[in-house]
Parts: sequence; structure tokens; C-alpha cells
Amino acid sequence: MSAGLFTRLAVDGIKKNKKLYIPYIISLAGMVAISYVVYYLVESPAISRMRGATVLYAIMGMGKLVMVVFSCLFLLYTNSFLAKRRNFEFALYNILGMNKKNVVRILLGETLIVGTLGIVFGFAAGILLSKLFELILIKMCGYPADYSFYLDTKSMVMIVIFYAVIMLILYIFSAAKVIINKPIELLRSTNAGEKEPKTNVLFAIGGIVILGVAYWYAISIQDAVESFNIFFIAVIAVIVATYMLFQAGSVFICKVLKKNKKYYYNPRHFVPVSGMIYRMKRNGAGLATICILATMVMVMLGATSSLYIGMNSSIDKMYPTDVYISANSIDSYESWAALDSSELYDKIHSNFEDVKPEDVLFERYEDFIALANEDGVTFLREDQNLMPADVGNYSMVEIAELDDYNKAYNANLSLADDEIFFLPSTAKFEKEVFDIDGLKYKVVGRDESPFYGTDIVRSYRAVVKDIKKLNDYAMSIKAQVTLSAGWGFNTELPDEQIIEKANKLWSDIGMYRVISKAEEKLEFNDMYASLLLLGVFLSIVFMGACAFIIYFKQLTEGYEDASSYKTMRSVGMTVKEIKAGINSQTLITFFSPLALAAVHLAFSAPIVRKLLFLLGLNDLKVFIMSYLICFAAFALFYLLVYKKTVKSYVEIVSQ
Amino acid sequence: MNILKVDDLKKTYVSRLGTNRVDALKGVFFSVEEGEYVAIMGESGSGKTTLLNILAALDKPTGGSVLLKGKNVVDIKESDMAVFRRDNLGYVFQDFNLIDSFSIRDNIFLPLVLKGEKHKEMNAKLEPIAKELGISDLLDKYPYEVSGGQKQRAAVARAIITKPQLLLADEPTGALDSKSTDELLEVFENINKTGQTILMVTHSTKAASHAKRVLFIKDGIVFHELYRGEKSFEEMYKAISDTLTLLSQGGK
Repeated sequence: MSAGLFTRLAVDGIKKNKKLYIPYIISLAGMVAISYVVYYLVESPAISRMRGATVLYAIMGMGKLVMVVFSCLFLLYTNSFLAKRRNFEFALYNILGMNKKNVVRILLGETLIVGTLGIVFGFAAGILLSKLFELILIKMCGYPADYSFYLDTKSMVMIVIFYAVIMLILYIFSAAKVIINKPIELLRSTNAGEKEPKTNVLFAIGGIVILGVAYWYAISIQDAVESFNIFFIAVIAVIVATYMLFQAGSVFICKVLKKNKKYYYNPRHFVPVSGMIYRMKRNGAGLATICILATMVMVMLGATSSLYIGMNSSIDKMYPTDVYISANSIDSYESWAALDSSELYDKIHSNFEDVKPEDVLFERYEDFIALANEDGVTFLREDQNLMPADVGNYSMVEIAELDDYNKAYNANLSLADDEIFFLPSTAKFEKEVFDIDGLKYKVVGRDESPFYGTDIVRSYRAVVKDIKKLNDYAMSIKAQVTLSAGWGFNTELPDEQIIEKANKLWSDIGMYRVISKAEEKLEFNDMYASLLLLGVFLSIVFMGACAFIIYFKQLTEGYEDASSYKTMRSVGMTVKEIKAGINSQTLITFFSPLALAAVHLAFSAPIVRKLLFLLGLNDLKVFIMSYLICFAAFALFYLLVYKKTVKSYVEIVSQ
Repeated sequence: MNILKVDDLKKTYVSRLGTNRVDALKGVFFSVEEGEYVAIMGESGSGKTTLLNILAALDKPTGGSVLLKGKNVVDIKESDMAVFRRDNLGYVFQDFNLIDSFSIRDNIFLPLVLKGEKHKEMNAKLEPIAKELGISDLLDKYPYEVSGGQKQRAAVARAIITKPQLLLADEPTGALDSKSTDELLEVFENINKTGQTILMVTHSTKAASHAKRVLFIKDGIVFHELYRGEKSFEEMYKAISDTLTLLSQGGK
């Protein structure tokens, strides 16, 4: 037989079953598109410039992982359904005189057509979506458009390989089935039901234990920096546990329900419960995926919107004064000690007339990157580089001098030479003696109020009596340390003038950076707005994926169930009863993922809050409100999808 | 006493554009006594399945009436039909129509569950029927795990567990091998002996020869009627065959 015939038979097969193939191709295309968008955004230069991109990377990294797991499961699921239908035709070809080799070739033709269509349409949609998103971003935030026609070929190649491998595996599965089974068995396989799965107690318990541990970590973690590292592990654990729970847990619950004769043999529960048991395995994977996508959407929306809403109050906390002059990496102790000169105050006064020298807040400190250990920190030596392996131990240390501190904050703290007082930091040091590479300080107190800043790494901030002693010591052991200083002041001027004058002051001073809160605010606005936009965009994408799985699940099940419902009607089930049954079945399958997602969301809140804290968000009320609103919005969206789905399902089964 | 009376029943199918009219039933008259076992025979396309679907309230006739215990089935509202079927009729299909997601037990329970009966009562009803039909050991299996004959016996159990006024069977032996066919026909006969009225549509002479009366349908009307009386299966079989030969030769 010629190759042309195989192609024609393959095309015919797809056309004849277009009701199933079209959603299948769309779902493949959808997954390719979403993968491309997620990969693209991770690689996109526009995103990497955003402040807080790290949180987004965390979410999208998790998104990539979920996409991989989800694509495999979803395609396996839809394919198994398709294969059941197609097996009938293949068996017929076989019986009509085609040998199995020929049938396998037709199958190959089909797989190639479906795969190519899916991937091509997927990329088209993905490129369109990502471009659209970038355009909105550029328009909203005024980012330069120089990279607007950037095609991410590396990601494209990876995605093509990934989906080609999945399609290949699916093809091998289907082909093996054709080769191994007798045609008559294939003919029958259309009607064969899934075996009732055994309850896997180990799986259920394992799921609960893993979830419990992940939850416990998420709520018990105190250190904001550590939470950043734990976050990924916790996310992976929660994903694994969710799959285990839905797989084993749903079987278990359904069986318990079935055992309760009074509940089971009730017209309202009879059909739904048996229907759920019948395809529990597939349901499990689908529901777990919906649950994880739902959680991701809500975390993403909640985090980005609370950042955006809470922006103003966080900026006020991060920049206590309207203008701040920052002097970093001052070369010697002598020039550092002499910094507080009147020359600078004159320059400030000449630009900001309402600012007098005594209104300026002056601070000096020694800062260095150190390796944290149990008893304190050790310096990096001059010949020592930061090693990636030590990344978990890096700490930022900032130590101010007592006199400066007392003056700046109107405090009257007193310290002995070997005493140290901790200021708000991202890391906590609980011991009594703080050891800075051999120089021991007794901890006499801590300011426990929260830290405001943008440190991603662990940081220690403290006050000692004499910086010179520390600096000399550091020099003597050839440690990498720097000396820094800063001046801050408030002014009555309006925002535009502040920005203008601060820039003027900067050019007057030259060497030190001048930062105005007003300008930072504008910048932050851009950043958080684009972050929010990205969050909304990704949420829409994932919600689309969510809706699609639900819809496809109901559609395929509808075709499968149509004959059962026909039988039930002829046995004497009224349309009203059928509708009630469908409602209660879909209600359970629909809202169980949402319920678990809500629990995930609640337990993720403390750790996400700590991550946002690192980005400067501290307003608890804003955070909780954002979370609640996002949950409500998502639940509403979910309800709409539910209604629509039930409607089309009823239409299919009551034809 | 008449349990079923069919009077001038007509059914015309009109193609979607209205250009083609097919008269499936042109005026069918017959009645069934309580406790009777009636077979309706006819070739493919003679209208027998249409007739059965109307009797089962699965389809509406174009004209005429169907009185089941004096109540006109034709007048029942669409929304009440399912309940009417559930309460009065049992239906056995050619291709069994068991639901794959239910075990055999639950398939049989389905009409009782729909009626809202208690689990204990359902079990009490099932036990003797399952024993009678020889499916007691299969109750917890799923339809795809049992043979065709076993599936059909389960379907019969589902049809009679509600003690229907009338048991309708549409080619019940059509998908069975000869051994299963014999077993099923014996089952039907035994059920009939307990007083169950049966109306069976078939084109199997063997199946029809077990009935007490055979109606022959041709071209949409009842063409002929045979009573078994004191005839043996063999004599009845021969009489049916002769009638069918006569019918196919077009004689009257």
C-alpha cells in the first residue's frame, strides 16, 4: 500500500472523530502555548529588569514544573480516551485485511498530524500571547521597546523536544496496544470499563504526612531569608502530596461512601458515587492538577496585588526620609571618620533651603559580606571569592557606631567596648556572644521591631561603641570590609521639585548617590504595576488551562456516559433526576480541588508573607484583604466554569 | 382481562425536509391478556421495533392509542414518562444496556433506587430473583467481567425486579449464542409461569416458538396470528416457519 493511502486514512480518522480530535489538538496547542509563555517570560529581558522578579521567578519556576507534570498526565488522559474510540476502527481495518504493521503506520500518521498541528498552533498562540503581554507592559510602564521582537528560540527548541517526546511515548503506548492485542479484543475495548482501583492506604498516609510536613515548615519558619530557600521545597512537597492525596484519597472516600448503603442507595447519590469510582484514577490526576493550578493562581494574584496595593506604606517604611544621600565603599577609616563635614550640609542647604544641618540624619557604618556560622560570622579574606556552594550562608553585616546611632535616633544607648546591640535585621541571632571572626562581642540587647528593606539574603545590623577597633582588626587579618555612610532629611517641597533638586544635588556632590523617595515611588509604581500585570496575565493563562481541563474532562466523560444515561432513562430515570445526579457529581469533583486549594492558600500565607516582606511589604491587613479578594474572585470564576460545564454535559448526555 | 390494548396505532417518519414519508406503522390492532406471553415477529423494517418503542413510551405514535390497564400511554406527558416506565414497565434490550460503571447488583437495583426503596427491601427482592436466574454469584462483578448470556440474565433481573405490569423484550436473544439463548428462553418461560405478562419482539423462530401466541407484522400492520394452544415446541416451530415462508412469498 502506498504512503498516500496511509496519510489519507489518518486524515480521515481524524476528520471522522473531529469532535474528540479538535479538543485534543486544542489542548495540546494550549499546553504548548502556555509552556512557551512561561519559558519566554522567564527568559525575557523585560521581566528580569523588574524589581521583585525573584518572586515571579519562584512562581514561574513552580509553574514550569507543574506544566511538565500536568502536560504528561493530561495528554495521557485524553489520549487514553481517544485510543479507546480509535481502537475500534483499527480493529476493523485489521479484520478487513490490513496487517498490524499497516495499522501502526496509520497511527503514526495520525500522531504526526496531531502533534504538528498542536505544536504549530501552540507556538502561534504562544508568540501572540507573549507579544501582546509585552506590548501592554511596554505601554504601561514605558519600558524601551528595543527587544519587542525577540523570539525565544532556545525555549522553542526545548518545548518542541519535550512535546515530541510525550507524543512519541503516547504513540508507542498505542502502537503496542495494537500489536499485542487481538483485533477482537480491540473491538471490545471501547466498552471495557476501568478496573475498580484498590485503595492504596500507604499512598494516602504518605500524602497526608508529606503535606503535614510541608505545612508545618511553611508556618513554623521564622527567618525570612530561610523561607526563600524552603519555599521551593515546600512547593514541590505540596504538589507531590496533592497528587497522592487525590489519587488515593478520592478512591478511599468514594469507597467509604459506597460502603454506607443508606447513603449510596439514595437516588441522589447512587449514580454520582458509582460514576466517580468508575474513573477515579483519571479523576484523581485531573483534580490534583486543577487544585495546584488554582493554588498557584491565587498565590500569584494575592502576592502581586498586595505588593501593588501595599506599595506606598512599604516605601514609607523603607525610606524614612524624603531624600537620602548614600556614600558607599569609602577607602580609608580616616576619610570615613571625617565625613560629617559642613561642606555637604551647605550643598544640601543650597538646594533644599528649608533643611538645616540639625535636621539631617547622619549614619555611618561598616559593612561586609560574611559567612554565617553558629557563633556569629567570619569575614571573606581579600583573596577569597564568594563560592556558590556557600550561598546559603552568606550574610550582609552592617555595624554602626554608637555615637552616630544615639544622635540619629535620639537614643541614649550606652555600650562597653566589647558589647553589641542588634538593630532590626532579616536574620536572628539568638546566642549571647556574637563572634566576628575571632572578635567577640557580648550581646546586650536587640531591637525586635520588624526590618524594612529589600535584602534577599540574611542580614545582621548592629551597633558597637568603636568602629575603629573592628576596622583595624579586619584590616589586620586582610578581610574584605567597606565603610559606608548616609545622610537623610525631610523637606516641605512638592514631589516634582524634590526629584529635580535631588538630581541637582547629586550632580553637585558628584561622588555620592542621592535618592529621593518621590522618585523611588514612581519607579516602584512602575515595577509593582508591571509585576501585578504579569501576575494577572499568568493567572489568566493558568485559569484558562484550569477551565480547559475541566471542560475537556466533562466533554469526554459526557460522550462516554451518553449511553449509560440513555439506559437510565429507559429504565425510568427522569431528566430531572439525571440533572440532579450530574449536579451533585460535578459539585463534588469540582469543589474538592477548590477546597484543598483554599487550605493550601491558608498555609502558604505565612511563608508568602515573609517573602513579600523581603520585598518591603509589611502591611498585614492589605495582605490578608488581597488574599481574600483573590480567593473570592477565583471562586466566582470557578463557579461560572462549573455552570457552563454542567450545562454542556447535560446537553451531551440527554441527546 | 386485557392488560394491553393497542388500537389503530400509526407512526409516520418524515425526513427532515419533509420530502420523504415512511409509514412504519399503518394501523396496528391487538390486545394482550394478563399473564400472556406474546411474541411479535417480522422482518427487518417491518415496524416491530417502532411498535415496541411506542409501547415502552420511548417514542410517540402519529395516531391511535395504547391502553395499559386502561390508561392511555400516548397521553402521558413527556416529563412523566420516565416515572410511568419505572412503575409499570420492564424492558430487556437486545444489547443488554447494562451500565458499565455499576456492578451487576447495582445495575439490577437501579430502578428500585430510583423509586427510593430501602436497601433492605431491595436485597429481599433481589435474592429470589438472582437465585432463579442463576446470577447469585455474579452480583459483585462488573458487566465487562461476565458473558453475554449472564449480562442478559442480569438485564432480565433488572426488568422484573419492580414487578412490572408488562415485560417488554426487544430481540433479547439477538446477541446470544445458542446455549445462552436456550437458557434465556427457559428463564422467560419460568417468569411467565409466575404470572408475568411478556411481550417480546424477535425474528428468531426458536425464540417465538416458546411464546403462547405469535403476531406477525408486515408492512406496518398485523398480518397474521398464531396460537400455541396444545402444540409442542417442535410443532409450533414448524407452524411459525410455514407462516414465515408464506409471508416471504408474498401470499395472503
